[in-house]
Amino acid sequence: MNLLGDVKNMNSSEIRTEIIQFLKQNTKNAAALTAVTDQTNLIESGLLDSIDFIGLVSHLEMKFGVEFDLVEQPIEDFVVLGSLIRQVEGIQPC
Amino acid sequence: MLSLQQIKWGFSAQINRLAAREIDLPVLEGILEDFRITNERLLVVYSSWENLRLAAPPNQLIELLRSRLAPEGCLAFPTAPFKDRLKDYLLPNPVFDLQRTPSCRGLLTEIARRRKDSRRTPQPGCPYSLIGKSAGQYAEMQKDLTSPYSEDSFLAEVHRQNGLILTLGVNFIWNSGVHYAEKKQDEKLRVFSKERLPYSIKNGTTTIATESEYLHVCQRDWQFIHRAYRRRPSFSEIRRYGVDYSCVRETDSFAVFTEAIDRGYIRKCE
Repeated sequence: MNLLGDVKNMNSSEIRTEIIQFLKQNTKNAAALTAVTDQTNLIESGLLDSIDFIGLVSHLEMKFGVEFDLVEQPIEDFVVLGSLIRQVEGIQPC
Repeated sequence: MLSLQQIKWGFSAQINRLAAREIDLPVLEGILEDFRITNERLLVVYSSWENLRLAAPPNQLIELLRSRLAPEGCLAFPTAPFKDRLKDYLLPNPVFDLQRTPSCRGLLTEIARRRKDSRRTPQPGCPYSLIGKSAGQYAEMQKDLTSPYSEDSFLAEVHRQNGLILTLGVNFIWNSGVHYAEKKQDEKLRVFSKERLPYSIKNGTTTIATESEYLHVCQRDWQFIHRAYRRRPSFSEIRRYGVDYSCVRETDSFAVFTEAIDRGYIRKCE
């Protein structure tokens, strides 16, 4: 499979679908899923704990061939759904 | 349209957010002062990012902790790649990549792992990401890769150097030093498997194939252990704004676990 080729053509709705799929499989708060918006904080909403959040980040890095800078960038850039999608879109595959 | 359950969930989440006061970094700095943490050679940190509710980025907390080290000191975060048991992890994931396998011990530990100056110890059963001048030296120390708790493991070094165990947002039961004590007393406990699991350690382009023992489930009486901790001179615990913090010297902690094993308060689950 040409993973990086797929990544270059990814749009925000495909990235969103991938994240929602991960949430469906890993959330401990399924009731919160239907209320998810781009402003939803994935940890504060109880959708993911910080360990599962790291699982999501790692999953997206693998899937889209990107590497996030969790050390230097504000963590809010990654825990809020809309920001997370923009991060994936904005980083060139490595 | 929102269901009743969603409304109830949203309401309680809002209440929780309002009730949960965020902790500023100076509050945490004050706690480190209260614990007299300064000039440490080996500082091992167990944490829960959610419980801490820190109003600062994780890396700032790591820098604060780093400022409490001696010049040659080392800061350590557990970065085990599994949530529950090593055996359940290694069977489907027999390659432990020191540079890429994420930590399953919380956000703070993953940020520590991702720092460019951090080094990770190689055994997947109990790896630590290390920061500080001696990080490289400790990360390369373990040659016996068949046990997470061998005599050349990082935890054994923490014991030899009487490192300080600090817990942030969690209590002392998160201290993995208990497994090192259990390993030392395994003739009595018999909790380590004789059967070994094959796995490989990947570090950059180098891959080493080896195998690992694993720990069976132990029953630990944490109430007894807590009482025993309170009798130890180096043990301190604080609850501030609903968040738990504790610290203890490794040799005191080891003595508590050894006593618990001797008296049957730690034993193998049958």
